Amino acid sequence: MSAVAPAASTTVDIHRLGHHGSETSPADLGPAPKRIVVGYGFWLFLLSDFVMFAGLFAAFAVLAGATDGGPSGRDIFNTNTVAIETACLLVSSFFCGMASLAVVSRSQLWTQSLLIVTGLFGVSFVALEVMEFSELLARGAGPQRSAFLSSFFTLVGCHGLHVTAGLIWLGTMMAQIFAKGFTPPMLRRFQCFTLFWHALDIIWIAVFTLVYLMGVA
Amino acid sequence: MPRNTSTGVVTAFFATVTGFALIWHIWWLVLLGLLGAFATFVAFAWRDIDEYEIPAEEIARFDRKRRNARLALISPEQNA
Repeated sequence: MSAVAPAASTTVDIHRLGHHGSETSPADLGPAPKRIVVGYGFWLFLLSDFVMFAGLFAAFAVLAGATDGGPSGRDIFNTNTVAIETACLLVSSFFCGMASLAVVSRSQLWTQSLLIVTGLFGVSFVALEVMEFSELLARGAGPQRSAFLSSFFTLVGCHGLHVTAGLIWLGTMMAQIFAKGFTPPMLRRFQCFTLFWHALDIIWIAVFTLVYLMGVA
Repeated sequence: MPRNTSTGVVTAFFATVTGFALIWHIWWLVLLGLLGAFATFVAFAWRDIDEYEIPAEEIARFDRKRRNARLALISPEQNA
């Protein structure tokens, strides 16, 4: 690459991505808009969360066969329940996307209604998972039974805890949007929530693929 | 600049209480700790003013003082 680098003051911005035609250098433009900084920071948090889940996935992968003579995946996984749980989360994410549109149009009524529906599907997911866990506990297939079950409960339980925390966040945020309206901080927080909610959906897809589907294969 | 807040420290306190209670199976304390952390979070999230502005002249004043101090350090050495 022997091309001559252009001087800073004559940098070519052929798609006008940057300073909308003005000739000011980057040094004069100040910090990035808050919306971008907040989004970037929240993505960094989400990536750190993914790293944590990656560790839990790795532990599960290593311990999946360590059933200690107890129940294995095939004995305890009910694919119908998993299908309904997946549908709950996916529909919930869909309504979260609809709520984003409602926020764009600044409609309090639509935003709250769609967020309630988002939350209800999230609650259904958590309820189904709690039922699945308590049934396993009642059968003696709790996290103490074997390494496989320990790692299963940790991984899936951690995801369920994240969903629960997200639901609490959702409820608080709904109250705040109602009380404060669509101010710039509220918009940034809503943006973070949608990122979080969709990220949890992604994690769940990995969970049901690697844990449930591959467990009963 | 963002306004200072004690939210982090207070939440960490409640998180410590929650962790302690989880280890020793003190379930009512787990609930108390989580509720305390949540209340701190809500109180922090509800504030209307979250930053303050420092005028450019004030920063220029500080920077001028700093520059002059450094020049004073360098110049006598160069002339020495």
